[in-house]
Amino acid sequence: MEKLQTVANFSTDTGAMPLVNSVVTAVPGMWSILLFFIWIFATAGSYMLILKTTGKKRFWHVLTAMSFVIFLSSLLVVSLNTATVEHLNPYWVGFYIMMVLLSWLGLSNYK
Amino acid sequence: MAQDNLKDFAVQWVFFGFLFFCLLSFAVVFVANNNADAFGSSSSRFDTSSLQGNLTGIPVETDSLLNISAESNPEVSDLGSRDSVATSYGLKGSSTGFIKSTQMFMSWIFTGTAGDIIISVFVGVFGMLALYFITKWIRQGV
Repeated sequence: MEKLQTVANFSTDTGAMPLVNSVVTAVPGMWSILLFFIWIFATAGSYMLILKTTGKKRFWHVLTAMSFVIFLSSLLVVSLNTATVEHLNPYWVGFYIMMVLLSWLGLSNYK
Repeated sequence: MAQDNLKDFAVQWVFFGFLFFCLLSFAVVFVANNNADAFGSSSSRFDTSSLQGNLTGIPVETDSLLNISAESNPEVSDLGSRDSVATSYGLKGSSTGFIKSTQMFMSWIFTGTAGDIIISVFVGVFGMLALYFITKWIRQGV
């Protein structure tokens, strides 16, 4: 019978960070993949929801809003980075800044 | 609204620049306040310990060679004299210190998390502009 893991198996530190760090160490691209798919699927989901409920096509509005939300989320995740464990590459913050700007351009031109 | 005339077109890019500035400065300030590695310190490529010595101190070997710290008449400053040598040495030291401190400052900014964000944003801006003009010129011809 396998022995159940406890927090003490991960680190002597207390709190949730040893657990999160062990997950990120096992899957280095976890946060980038997670944020990217949340961005894509929340945009698509919001677009479809607004389309179903109001009948209006609000793609650029939704893309701008979700890009901004994921930009803030990526900032939070980047703040978890330490010298030894990298949760999210800071380049992703720049990527989502660019997505906010591009979607805002699209919103102002094509809405 | 946009592109009705030149003024509307320009106003749109002013808004764009303002939004760009707000997002980037917010990201840098946020990271600087919440991440210990926001700016390069331990990972800096340039040794900060040598700066003070280069700006203020003269190595003993150099002083022995040039005799800079000896008593001298400041009114006599012929070419090749002790005073002119001391002045040249001081100017050289100042410019070396300036260049080193500039390198260290840039290293301090660009080796940290904040530097990564700044670099990626400008890479994105130039990349998108390049894509835009490449596709435009492929469609229209240069």
